[in-house]
Amino acid sequence: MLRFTVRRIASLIVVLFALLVLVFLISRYGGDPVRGYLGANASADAVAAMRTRLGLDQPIWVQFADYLSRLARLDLGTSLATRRPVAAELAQRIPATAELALWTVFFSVLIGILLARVYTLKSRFSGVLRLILFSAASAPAFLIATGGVLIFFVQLHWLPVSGRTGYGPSTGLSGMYVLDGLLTGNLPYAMDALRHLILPALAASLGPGVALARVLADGLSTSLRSAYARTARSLGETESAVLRRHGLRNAASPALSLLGVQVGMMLSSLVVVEQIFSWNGLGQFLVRAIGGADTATVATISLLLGAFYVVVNALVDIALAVVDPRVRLS
Amino acid sequence: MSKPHAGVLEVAGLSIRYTSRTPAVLAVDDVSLTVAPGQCVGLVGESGSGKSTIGAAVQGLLTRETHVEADGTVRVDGVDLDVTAEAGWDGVRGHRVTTVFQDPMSSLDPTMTVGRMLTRVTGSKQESLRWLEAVEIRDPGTVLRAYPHQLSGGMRQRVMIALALARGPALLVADEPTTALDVSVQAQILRLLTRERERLGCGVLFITHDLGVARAMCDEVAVMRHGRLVERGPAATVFGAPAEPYTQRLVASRLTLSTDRQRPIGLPDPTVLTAMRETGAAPDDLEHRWERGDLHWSSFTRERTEVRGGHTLELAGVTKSFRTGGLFGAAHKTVLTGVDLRVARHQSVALVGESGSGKSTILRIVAGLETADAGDVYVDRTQGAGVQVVFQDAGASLTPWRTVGQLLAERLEDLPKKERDQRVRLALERVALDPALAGSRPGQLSGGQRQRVAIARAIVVPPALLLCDEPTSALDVSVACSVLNLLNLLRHELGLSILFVTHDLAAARIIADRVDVISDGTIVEQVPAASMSTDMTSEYGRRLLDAVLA
Amino acid sequence: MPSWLRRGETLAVVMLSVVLVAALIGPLLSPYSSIIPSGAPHLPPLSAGHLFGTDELGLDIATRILEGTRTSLLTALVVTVIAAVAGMLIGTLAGFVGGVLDTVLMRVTDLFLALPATIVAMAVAAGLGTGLTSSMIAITVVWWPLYARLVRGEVRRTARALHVEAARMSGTRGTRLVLRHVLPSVLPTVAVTASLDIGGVIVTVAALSFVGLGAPAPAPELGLMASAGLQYVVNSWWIPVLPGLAVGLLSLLFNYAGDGLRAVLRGKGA
Repeated sequence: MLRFTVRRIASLIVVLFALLVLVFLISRYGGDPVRGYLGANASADAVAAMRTRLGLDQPIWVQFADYLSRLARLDLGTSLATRRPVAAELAQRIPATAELALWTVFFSVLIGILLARVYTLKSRFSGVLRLILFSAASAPAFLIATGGVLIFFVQLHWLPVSGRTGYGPSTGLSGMYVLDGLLTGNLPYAMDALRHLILPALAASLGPGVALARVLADGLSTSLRSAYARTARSLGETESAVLRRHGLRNAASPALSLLGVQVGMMLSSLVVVEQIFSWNGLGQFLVRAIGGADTATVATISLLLGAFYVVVNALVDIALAVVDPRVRLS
Repeated sequence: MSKPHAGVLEVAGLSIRYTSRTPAVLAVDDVSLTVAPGQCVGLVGESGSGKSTIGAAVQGLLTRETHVEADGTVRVDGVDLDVTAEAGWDGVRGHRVTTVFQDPMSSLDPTMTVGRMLTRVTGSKQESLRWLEAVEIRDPGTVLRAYPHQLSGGMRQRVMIALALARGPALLVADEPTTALDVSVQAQILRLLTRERERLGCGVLFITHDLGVARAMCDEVAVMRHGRLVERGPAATVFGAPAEPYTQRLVASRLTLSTDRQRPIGLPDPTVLTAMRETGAAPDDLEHRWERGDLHWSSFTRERTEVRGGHTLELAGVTKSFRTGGLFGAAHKTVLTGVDLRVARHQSVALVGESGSGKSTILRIVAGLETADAGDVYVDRTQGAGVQVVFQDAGASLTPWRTVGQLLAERLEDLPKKERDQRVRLALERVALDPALAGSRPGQLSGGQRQRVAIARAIVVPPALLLCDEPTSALDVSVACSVLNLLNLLRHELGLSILFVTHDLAAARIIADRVDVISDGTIVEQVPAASMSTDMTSEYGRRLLDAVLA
Repeated sequence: MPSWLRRGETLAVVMLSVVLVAALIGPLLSPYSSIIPSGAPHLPPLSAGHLFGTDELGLDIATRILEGTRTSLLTALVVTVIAAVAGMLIGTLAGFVGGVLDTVLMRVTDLFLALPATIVAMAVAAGLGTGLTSSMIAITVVWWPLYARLVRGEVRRTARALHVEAARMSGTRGTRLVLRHVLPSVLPTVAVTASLDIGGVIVTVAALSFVGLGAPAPAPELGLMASAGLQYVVNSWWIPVLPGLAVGLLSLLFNYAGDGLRAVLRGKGA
């Protein structure tokens, strides 16, 4: 187990480094950072001076080392879009995205389990159900989000569709409003934050949830048809005990590893969803940076989101090894 | 429910139909049988005979299937049951009737420890330990904490037996319980099953395709074919003096250490007869001579003009190890240590060993599919077109999307098309296949036909050395019998040098001039096949001999 | 499986063909331009002369959706085909040659697969500058490793299969062995994956365009139309919703057809 963990962490470090290199290359060679700062009309002298100041005339590895040291000092430059230090923007926005992401994962798992249950029930509606699930899995997140806005805000007036709260930024520690509300005992505040969360989190979780349901349902039906399930029946286990004791255990690991991969899809959905729901998170910041042609900031945000994904997947793999002895020993 | 009853299992007029296909498949047709307490009844048949369907039915594993219909009655330990309905099975399945399945690897949940599974049945850890001791598992404490994949096949099957017996069932269904195991392990498991049956007094329904196992284990046997009971009676009678032609053929196909090596084995077989006539060397009254025991392989041996002597294959000091483990834990597992092996021209040598002995690695090295780490491998290619292999799983060795003709022609790429077709036809006739089958794909053929295609492919250009990798162990006995006869015919007619890899001493004896026993990557002894049972002296060799069921 | 379900897949294929034809020749048939206003702004769907209504500038939405669909389809096809072919070449090479080449190629592939595809595509597209071409390049860059991994696995599995060893023993080697005995078992898998993937690529292209990585307004791109129209959702819902629905429908049709293809191939035992 220890060996597996060490190996997994070693490969995590390699991937993180590769991500760093990729992001560095994009921020250096993508777009033109000098013109970005100075505008298109700057004089040749000004451009040259700026190049020297930014260290762009240095050899590539010197630039990379410089990049790393600035990353370590959290000196991430100034956002062209907001004219504020990127590090400050990130510090403010990370909790917002983290909160939304956590709820998205929670909703995905919930949707996955519920749909898997419906999926395994054989009925004459299974074909219709399949069509509905297919549609949900095919729809782009922005369509689901827009549909949600139309139904639950424009038509029904049930849920708010803009921002994270109707009250104002939380004064709590975590920056996650629902949690802060609960921690400070301010229940109405937590409820309001939750109401603001529901639509964006659901919009981002529908696709991954459906994918999860399919894998879970497939895994369940495979393991219920397996030889060990037959053994359990021959030993007098009831059908529901076979499902509980053997079916779920064996179906859990493919579902868990899919969930890890689906986090990538969730992240890209979050970028779109934050934009639609004016959610002051990383995604919204990313879209603004793209709009302002601020390649360096785009690269930094991608680095952050990418690193999050890579770390989550390493954790999922280690969790899998704990749950399933075959993973650990293979 | 305490009415008096004669048997722990009473089946009367049982018919089972699978209705998912049209027309419905009649898997079991009007079968009646009884198992008395403490009695072992063998249910014997080839694949598709319906024996496993009966096994599943009497333990209530068909109740949830949607496309099954049944007639007749099944009574387990005095309880009348419907094999297609769940009602009444509660408290019977898993309590009064339990099962030991064939493949202990896939039959145990890979995510659960042995202890967790066993304690569910025994109720307490102490009881689980006691049961592991009862099935002769050394170090039961460790095994209790182990996952199935950490155990050997034999250990897993012992665990399976403990699971099945722990609740003291009245009836134990043993569904091919030793088929996936090595011969020496098989003998131990069979002894264990017999001992526990006597100790617990439960009845056993023993399902097997292996006549030797049935004969060794059962008081009574019932022979099945195409879903019907062909013959039943005391084991000694059925095997000693079979009454029905089907049983006679089955019993005659069985190989023992006293089967005559000089003559074709089994009863006259149309396939082999056709192939014999193709040689042109066959006597006129072929079938009668075979029946009278008057047909010798020597009559097919062609006069050979070339000089005798010399070796087709020489292995000297061959070693091989494989890398296991990954980045941090790289380790080497030695499979072969200094193997010396020679096959003389026109000689047939059998390499006999159990799984993991290294016999398959030798075959793969000779075939050129692996390379040896050290040592010399020499094949005399002047005597034919290199080395050819007939694999155990013929179905998998034939590319599914290519036709039989295309597959055979691949070895003839240099010839003009007309001659190629001619050679393909000839090779198919040699193994008694209709040349019209050249246009078929492997999926359209039966198991026996596929194995014959594989042989035809190997001999379409006669090779210097023919390697056979357990070519009969996946086949039903009667089919295996005709494949062995065909190989023997080709051996004598074409003068092939053969290296025959197998775990089956009886088959080895039939096909080979010399038997080499391999254990742990070393050849432990080499004896003439004719006097094998007396000449074999090594401890391992004796153990293999003892494991062969008389 | 009930027969009407099979009909569902057939229906998907028929509808897909209709959509393909409509997307190819539709823009030619439309009386309107996709970038010149042709009516009053904010006309609702089913208005006279404007089946899907008009947007805030008075552009005909039906014409713009047809043109956007064409762009979307072409982009997705090009990306998928290039990714699949490149992945197949690299995967076959790695799987069949093995050794150092395999290790190097698969390490690179694994690196790509360990990163979140869409996020990396966004970063790469931003680095290349906005526009459809840079989106396509970016998506292809993150998409080929999927195929390389898949094909390499299949090739390795097939190359170890007994029938390939038997063919090798028959003297068939090299390219001929790969073409005759290995690739025929890999192709159906790639075809099914590719057809299921087109839907995903369509959605990804739209998402990139939605966040501003496609062509600038008022180009008729579906993702861009959906994001630019978002501000009018309260009073003119059709402006953002209809282009989004077009993306969803396209992706759904490809997913359905791909699933049908998979069922057919699996039924054949391929």
